Amino acid sequence: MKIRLNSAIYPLEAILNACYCFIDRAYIYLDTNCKKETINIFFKGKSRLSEKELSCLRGEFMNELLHCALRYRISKENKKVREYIVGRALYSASGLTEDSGLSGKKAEELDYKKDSLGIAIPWEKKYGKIRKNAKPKV
Amino acid sequence: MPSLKFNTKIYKKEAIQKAISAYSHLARFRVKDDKDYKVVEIDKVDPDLKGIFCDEFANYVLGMSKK
Repeated sequence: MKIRLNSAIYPLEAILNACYCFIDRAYIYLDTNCKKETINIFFKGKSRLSEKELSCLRGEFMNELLHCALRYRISKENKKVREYIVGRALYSASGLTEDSGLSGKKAEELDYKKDSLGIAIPWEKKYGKIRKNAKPKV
Repeated sequence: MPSLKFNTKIYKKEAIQKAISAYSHLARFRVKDDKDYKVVEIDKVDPDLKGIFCDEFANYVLGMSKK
């Protein structure tokens, strides 16, 4: 079975991906003309296939090809956003955050047990005991 | 001697090389350049695989080209 595709409609990457999905069911060979305008796909079933089965295989392949072409287009369109998201995630994971201004190593050096900000000190110890008759300031 | 013509616009040269090294214990290969094609001549194929060897090899190259 031979399928002839226009490479302007279906990019080569999508064709390769679609073919890859079928290499367990068929032997596939690809060829193109000198200008790379059309890509010819030759299918040969691994087992002997009837006309109906071949037609079914062709239909399934064309559907898969459409799916791969769409996925390829979406991934191409979203490339910048994807790279930005991954870059942002890696940047935050590295410890170089904009808020702290500390590198990962410096942040690790700050030991919470030392309590440099005095958070663990009780209120009474820090500001004295609360007087019972003290009137609240208005 | 069977031969396969791989168009270099579709199949990667590295993929052909990788496939040859993966199948080298089953046959003997010779690669020639022919304009846009890499012609792989296959010789001394393992007798058990004679019927399917070329097709399986072409599929392997396709799989490697996709990666």
